[in-house]
Amino acid sequence: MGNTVVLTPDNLSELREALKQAAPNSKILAGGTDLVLAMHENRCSPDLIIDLSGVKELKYVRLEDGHLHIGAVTTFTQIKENEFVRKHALCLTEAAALIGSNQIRNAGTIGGNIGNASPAGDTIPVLMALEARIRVMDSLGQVEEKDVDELIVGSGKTSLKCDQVITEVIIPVLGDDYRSTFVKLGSRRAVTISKLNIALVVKYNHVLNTISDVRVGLGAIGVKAFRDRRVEEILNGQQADDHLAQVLAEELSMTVQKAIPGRYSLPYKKEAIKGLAHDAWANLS
Amino acid sequence: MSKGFKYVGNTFPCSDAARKVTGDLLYGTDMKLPHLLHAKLLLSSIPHGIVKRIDTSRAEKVPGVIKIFSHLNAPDKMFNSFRIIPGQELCIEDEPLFSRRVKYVGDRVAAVAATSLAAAREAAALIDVEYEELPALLTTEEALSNKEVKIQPGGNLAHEYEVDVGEVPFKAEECITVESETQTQRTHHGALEPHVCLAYYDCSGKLTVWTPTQGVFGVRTVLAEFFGLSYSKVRVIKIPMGGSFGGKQEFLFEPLTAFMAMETKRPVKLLLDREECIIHTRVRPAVKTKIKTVVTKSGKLQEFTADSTLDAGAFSGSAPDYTSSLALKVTKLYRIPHYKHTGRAVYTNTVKSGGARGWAAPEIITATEVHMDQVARKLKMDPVEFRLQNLVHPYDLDLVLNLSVGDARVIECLERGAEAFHWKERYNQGMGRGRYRRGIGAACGAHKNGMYGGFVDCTSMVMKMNEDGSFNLNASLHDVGCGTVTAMGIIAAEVLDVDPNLITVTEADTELTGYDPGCYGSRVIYNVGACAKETAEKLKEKILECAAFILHKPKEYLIIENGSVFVKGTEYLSLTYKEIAEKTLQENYTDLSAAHTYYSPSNPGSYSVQFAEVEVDTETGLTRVTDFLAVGDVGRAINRGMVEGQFQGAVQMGIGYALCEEVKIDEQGKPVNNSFKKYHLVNAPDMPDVQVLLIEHEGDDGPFGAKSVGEISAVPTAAAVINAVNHALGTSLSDMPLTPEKLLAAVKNR
Repeated sequence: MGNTVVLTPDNLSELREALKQAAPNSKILAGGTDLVLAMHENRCSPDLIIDLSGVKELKYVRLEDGHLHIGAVTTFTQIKENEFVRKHALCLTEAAALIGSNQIRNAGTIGGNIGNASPAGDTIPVLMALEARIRVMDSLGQVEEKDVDELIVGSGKTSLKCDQVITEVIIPVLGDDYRSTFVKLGSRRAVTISKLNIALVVKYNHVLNTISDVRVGLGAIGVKAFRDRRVEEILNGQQADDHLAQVLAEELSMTVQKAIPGRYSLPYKKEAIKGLAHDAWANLS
Repeated sequence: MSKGFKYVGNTFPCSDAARKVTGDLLYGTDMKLPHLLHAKLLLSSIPHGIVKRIDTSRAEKVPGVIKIFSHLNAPDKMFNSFRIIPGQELCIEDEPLFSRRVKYVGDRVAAVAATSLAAAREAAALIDVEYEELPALLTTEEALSNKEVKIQPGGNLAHEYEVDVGEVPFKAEECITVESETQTQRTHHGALEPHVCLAYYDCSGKLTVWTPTQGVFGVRTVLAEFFGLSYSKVRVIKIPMGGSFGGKQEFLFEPLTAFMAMETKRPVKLLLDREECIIHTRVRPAVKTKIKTVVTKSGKLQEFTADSTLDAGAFSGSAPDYTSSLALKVTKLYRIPHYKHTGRAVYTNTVKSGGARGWAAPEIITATEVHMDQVARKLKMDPVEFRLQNLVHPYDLDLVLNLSVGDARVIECLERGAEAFHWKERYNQGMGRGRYRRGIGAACGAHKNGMYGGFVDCTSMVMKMNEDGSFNLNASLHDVGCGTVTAMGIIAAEVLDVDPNLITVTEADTELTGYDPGCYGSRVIYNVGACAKETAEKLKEKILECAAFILHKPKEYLIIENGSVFVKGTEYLSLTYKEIAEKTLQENYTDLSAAHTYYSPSNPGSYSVQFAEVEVDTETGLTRVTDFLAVGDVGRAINRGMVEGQFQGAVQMGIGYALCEEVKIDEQGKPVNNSFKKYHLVNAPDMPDVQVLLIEHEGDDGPFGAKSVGEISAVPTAAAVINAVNHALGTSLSDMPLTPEKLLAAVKNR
């Protein structure tokens, strides 16, 4: 750790300057709830750390032209307490509230959760289900937007170049006829890492009692969270009744069996996801 | 407030609470000494093998490294971390400072002493070790069946015992036979403070060691014997401790830290991290117990036959004593005409087993109480009714120890607890048919009060009154966090009728405080507390004698009240303690102090009965404990809030024991969950409100009737939870812990 340089930019222009010094072994510190631990355990020894905690410009939640804009350094506590998020992307509120402990939520950020790309990261399936776009900036100030699925390529791996940083998460707001939820299963009720998590977004027609535009994000099954398009297709246009809850449970169980065949955790996960699916469904109604 | 007491039975904050909350209390990790070196361990990455080569050349280049230690430059001499007195039985010396043949993943291979912890860490990671791997025996079954691989020179059987007492009764009635098998798992103690130790060997030849230990005199014995030093030249000072639960009971790191200090001629601090605490120090042993009982159809126990196998880990340590103790609990709890218990400790290539809260009682009582529910079910009897027919009565004889169980109030605990918990109504309610199933469970537990009947149990104290009427109680206490220091002050304050804040109580320092074998074995309140009471009484007599002299009245005419001495019937004739102390010193040239040694005269049982309600999610396998009542036969609560807190903390530990805690070791011998991220303790959101009901009588020899609480509180918890889960699901699960994975499999297979 002795040879690590730490840069502490105070604004975006200093951040761009800092990024010019970044090399493949450099790290962005966006809360540090994973990175600092990894360094203490010698799992990672970066030559350069760019600490985002001073870049106040990246700490915000705004509602603009039908989109939620969340700065990358916004903490989970700020997200879970934000009224815009609660109104327009409830599943993200729920996910932020279930991450780690109070201390973790006070330090950990949404940008850090994405950049860390943990298979069990709780906001990742949520952002997939919300069809969020991730804004990324490089050392020259050039900005591009990516899907979460493009940005995260594997367990702990992203497609970010070393001079790129996540600056913002952009979420199309869900209309009033949408419902969403996030549920997770760990080995205890709180301060736990997901063994399974589900983000569920549906458009609900209360006249016909049907659902459409179903989006299912799944995490902690395999190396990377994913959208379960197969199950989404099965659910689209269906009557939202108890039978459909059962279908959701059984089909998600099928997805688990396909995703992690032969894995030690399979016998448990393929059963437990049914209970979790029922929880998610119950939250929607 | 308890009837007739002024201080005893009230609630007082722990003497060091303010210092702990503000961060003002200095723990080992905070301590600094001039020229201090920091040590870091290098632990074995393989479960069994020979260290062929240690290359320290890269590590030595790290700036700040002073010396690197391994078997190459350390003595071959062995020690036993459990030795308290020189000639202690069953203490095999088989632990080296560093292993030449490593015997588990986490065994000590080397250590670096450097001028900073960062440098020591960096260097430790740069030591290259080459091993020749040997076959690893990871389970007791493998270790017993494999005759070729010997973990210790004498083979893999570490210890055996057999207890057979009473006689098979004439069976006037028809009987049933019930058999069960329970597996309890290895657990980590989970003290917040990791292990730490500081040592300095000065140029006069005196070794000083600062350690958060449970027994300074045991540390001194081990160190003096190991290094060939005079007992008077080894000074061991107990420093503040952030929890032990038995994990710091044995003398694990004092010899190593002292060795490094002697070699470098500088003070050395060894501080472990969480992973090292989990994989390297000690674990609660895994125990498999088979029980067979013969019971009359009307529910009277006739015969109890048990067979236990304890996983000792890689060397002996405390395992022989711990294993033998498995046979010392059941006959304190139940009236059993014929009790037979065979058992053994077995070496395996896994982390060493060691002392843990309850010392064999949680292991054997869990197996027993899970079994008793199975018996009740087979008899179609209510499990509480069944137990009531068989529990011990006050002053019964414990057949195994040939000792009285004392004023044992376990029946009262069960009766009053069942009433408070509304046991009958709740037990007969349905468990539900939907996704969530509810169940309730009860379990009884027994534990001891000190060492009387088998080991040294005496303690020496000195108490003095200062010139201003305040007091100092000089005692070899080891407060492990449960308020021992405060409790001793309350006891002395009650005797002397002064504010406990006027009494300063010391902790242990081999050079300055009297002998005491250590604060463990549930001996502290019962015996050390009794010593505090008698020492204060001795001093009180001296105060009265001096007052009699000053007042020119016979001692028998005097009474003590509220920090003053009065002449009976003539209230205007009185002296405050301050006046007595001043006059005694100034006019009579006399010091007011009393020295006392107390010898424990008995060892009654302490009892707890606990009731749990659980809700099992049959779709995810997650279990929540939704209600809990802990009843304790504690004789007398000295510091009521702390006694209740002991139960609440014990329940947190016991729920984890039942449901989630386990140090898992994979097929390669590697511990899987080596951090609190992976080793889950029960946290606040998962805790029920724990109600505590204390049963108080004064039938035994403890101070004001007090009996032990710290260990007994943790004895029946896991069984109560497991019995509740089995009640909820209609199962007979006994393979601990009852994880979601196991519960879901049980639900599916039913």
